[in-house]
Amino acid sequence: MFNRFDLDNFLQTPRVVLLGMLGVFVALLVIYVSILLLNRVFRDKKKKD
Amino acid sequence: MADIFSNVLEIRWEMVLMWVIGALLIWLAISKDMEPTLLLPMGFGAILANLPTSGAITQIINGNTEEGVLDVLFNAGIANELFPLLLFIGIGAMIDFGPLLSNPKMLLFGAAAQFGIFFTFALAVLLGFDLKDAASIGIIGAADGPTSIFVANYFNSNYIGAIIVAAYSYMALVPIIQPPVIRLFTTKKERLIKMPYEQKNVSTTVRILFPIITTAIVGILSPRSVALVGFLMFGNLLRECKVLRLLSESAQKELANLVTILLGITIASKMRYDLFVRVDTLIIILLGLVAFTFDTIGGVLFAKLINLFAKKKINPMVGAAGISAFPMSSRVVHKMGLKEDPTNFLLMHAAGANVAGQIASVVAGGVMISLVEKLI
Repeated sequence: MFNRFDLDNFLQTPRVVLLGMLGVFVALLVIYVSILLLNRVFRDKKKKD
Repeated sequence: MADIFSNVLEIRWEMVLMWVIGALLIWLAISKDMEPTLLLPMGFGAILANLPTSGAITQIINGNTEEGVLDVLFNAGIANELFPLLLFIGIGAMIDFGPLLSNPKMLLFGAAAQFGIFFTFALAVLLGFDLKDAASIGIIGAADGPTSIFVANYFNSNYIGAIIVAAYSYMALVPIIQPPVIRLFTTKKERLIKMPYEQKNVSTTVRILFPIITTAIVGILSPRSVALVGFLMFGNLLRECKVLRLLSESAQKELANLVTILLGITIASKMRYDLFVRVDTLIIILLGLVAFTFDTIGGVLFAKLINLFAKKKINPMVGAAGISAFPMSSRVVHKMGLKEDPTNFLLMHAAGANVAGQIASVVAGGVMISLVEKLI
């Protein structure tokens, strides 16, 4: 199993892990902000009644 | 007479092993109620595909290629990513994003609980898998069958059968996998943190705009995920628009059921003994467990990190619900909360994190494709 180990490939992984998690967080942060804005702009009318 | 029984001589021990695996999947589906909608068709398909010179899979007989129905279905529905995408319409129609829309902070737990995907990717490369297969294996941690199929198929992984078996099996095993990991990484005091739920009404306009805007955002930031997110959100739009009730119900029931039947049995075309009976398969199954474990750890530790700064403390168990296995993970967290304190109701918070995990896992799949594609 380990004889297939490719050092070059492995050295690429920290970048993928970091950028991958960063990418997921950025995308979800943008969605988070957009939900906050949507909730602010389109408040539920039933609540006011 | 000899001609009739000649096929018996074609039986190999690996085929018999696959029959046993098929029978095990059927048993788990029926007796243990573990993801029966997928494990049962997959189990039966595994037997069907591993009969000697099975006509269900493509065979070369006397130099002529005879197409098998499982391979025809695979090319028609999985190789072009059609089945997972259609299934996502049904899943989108089933999901109520209400708990998330009323408490959007939970999105961040969905993001944190994708850590297992990337950790497992690195581990798979360390174990000698190439980048494409490692990415396909890591995505087991998406805890989301269609995304796993989508990514493994995108990279044309030879391990797609093992990956799908691992993904669906561990989703069913979430109630067994998560509690010990959560207990290991939280203190009793943390598990007792109460999170009162404030019922906030979410307007119909927000519910309708959410799937459209999310599709646009993810499409721009992570274009590789746009098909998955788009179909998931289209299903949700059918549900939330309230004028397509019949279509929404059809997506939730008929469409999802039909695709699930075909998906399960079609995956079995990649459970042929020559592709499945390998040491690598065992390693992939173990890596799947690692992925689910580190997803859980990622979510719990992120909640603990937030607690260092937040005034209103978050029960770190809620972070564990950020994995996409919906609704099992939120139920697990809710039950664990009740076990610690029968007056602590975490279900709505956990459900918010859980549906966030559904979006996050799809985004993670797209991000993984974009990043790994550039390296190969």
